[in-house]
Amino acid sequence: MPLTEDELLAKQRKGARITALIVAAIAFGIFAFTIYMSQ
Amino acid sequence: MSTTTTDLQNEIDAHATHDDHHHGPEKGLLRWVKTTNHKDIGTLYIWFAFAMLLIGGGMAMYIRAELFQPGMQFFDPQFFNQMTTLHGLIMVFGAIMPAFVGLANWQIPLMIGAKDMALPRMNNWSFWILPFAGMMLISTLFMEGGGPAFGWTFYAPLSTTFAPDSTDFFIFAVHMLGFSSIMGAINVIATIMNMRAPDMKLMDMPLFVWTWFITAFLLIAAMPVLAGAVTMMLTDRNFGTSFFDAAGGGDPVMFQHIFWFFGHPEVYIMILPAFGIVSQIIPTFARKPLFGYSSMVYASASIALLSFVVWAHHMFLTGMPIAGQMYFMYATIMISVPTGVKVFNWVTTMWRGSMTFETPMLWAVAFVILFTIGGFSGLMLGIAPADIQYHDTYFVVAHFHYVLVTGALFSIIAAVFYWLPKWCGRMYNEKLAKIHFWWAVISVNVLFFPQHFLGLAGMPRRIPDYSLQFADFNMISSIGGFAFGASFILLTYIIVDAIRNGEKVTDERVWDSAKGLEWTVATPAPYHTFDTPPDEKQILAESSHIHVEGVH
Repeated sequence: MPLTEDELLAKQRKGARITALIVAAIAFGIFAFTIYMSQ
Repeated sequence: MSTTTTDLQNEIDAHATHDDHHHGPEKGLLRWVKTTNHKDIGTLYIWFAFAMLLIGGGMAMYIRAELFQPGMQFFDPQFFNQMTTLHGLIMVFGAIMPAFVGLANWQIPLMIGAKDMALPRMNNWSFWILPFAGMMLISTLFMEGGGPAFGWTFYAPLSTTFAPDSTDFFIFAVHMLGFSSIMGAINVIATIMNMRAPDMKLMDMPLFVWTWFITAFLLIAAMPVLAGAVTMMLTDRNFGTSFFDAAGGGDPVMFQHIFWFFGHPEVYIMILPAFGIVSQIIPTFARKPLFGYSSMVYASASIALLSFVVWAHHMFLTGMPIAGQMYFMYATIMISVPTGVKVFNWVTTMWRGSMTFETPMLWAVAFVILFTIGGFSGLMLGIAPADIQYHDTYFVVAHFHYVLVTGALFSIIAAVFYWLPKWCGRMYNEKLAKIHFWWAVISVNVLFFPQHFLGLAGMPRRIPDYSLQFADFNMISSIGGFAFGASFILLTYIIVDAIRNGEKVTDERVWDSAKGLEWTVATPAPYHTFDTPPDEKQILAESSHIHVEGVH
């Protein structure tokens, strides 16, 4: 059954938050790795 | 009707009323401070980028005035170096990158059938960091000891041991600019991955969305490396570490490796969205679907991947082993393959098209020709033995200005002319815009083309004075520079005049053969769009690269 507009938006926002967290973690990892490897 | 059903019906009615009655923008200045609307934030980004372009361009006028003839004319060498440094930093981080983020904010939700960006509050924060970072960067000029004078590449130890005190403010500004870019990239990735219309597959996305998607990953991988570099600079300067200080066991050449591991992908961060813009405009005015859509996507991804394995072609003169030079030379030259695919696809899209040359198309065609010149001179610089001659000369300056001015900046101007009528519902003055185009395109070549000859003859970059044999080409270059600078006065007038007094446009599809979901919403684009996502039929009909029988 197709999702209602509200259900779709809720699903999209949940996905967006998870994506943002993962990408932010990757960015922080690259930052930390850069400094670690430069020691 | 039972009580429960009545309550439910009331709730549904209330909800429907709420959805139907969107509040518009807030009145007054606070609208812009508090806004979370992607169109408002896109507008803020673009105006900010334009302001920074004028400031950075003003600095370029200083530089060209000083270089108009040999000898010291107006400034002392230290101030000249501050100008070249801040000109580069402001143009890269303040003008080109924010302009592309502004275009992404305006266009990506409209092009994928989304209501807004995925993380609207973070979007507001991403933007409002920028003016403070920009002001902090410019304020260094007025500090004791002057602003940073070590070039936009801020190599150690110039930027650590021998830099003025204001460098700490420069570091903080770069941190803030990087943080803003990373948040912007997170938003773009989250939006494209999650907010697309449910029936839009990845390979249905317009090229501008694809190139921005890839650019966002480049930003996520490259900007933290820059943040790491400036953090280490900060601790070297203030906390007794020796990351880049040979006396303490560190390595200044490592700074160059780290910087260019960020710096080379940064070049593609500034050109991939330009590829996307040109791939939107050319099919519209050639009245043909984009040739080789999927090869365009794969070429963009290939360019992005290759951009991470070529960084040391900026460092051929640091004493690299021959094997290293050979590797970086061949890897660099390999980038010309996917880039060539793109150029051939644009030309083939135009081939036997029913072409017209409205202003956005003029800028897009100029982009293809002039960016290719910048690409070719890049190939020359990528050849390790030849680079020994070209390194740190005006040939390099000519190369990257062809890529970033006639490439990135031209595509931004093309995009503004292309989408402005959709944004504000008014058409610019076509005659004036064409006069401006020819003025700019002639003057920019007078400005930058002679710099190739100066470089080949051995004139070094980042110097305020030069030998007499370089005088003629420098004078020609400066005249071109002043003319190109003046062209932005006309551009400002054309844009402001279009927004305030331009002929009203009400057609949804401003350009008769434009394809894309952004052309299905009203003109000017309403404050809120795509409350209901477009369906599959609409998505396929608006695709600029797929022919669908019986659907238009």
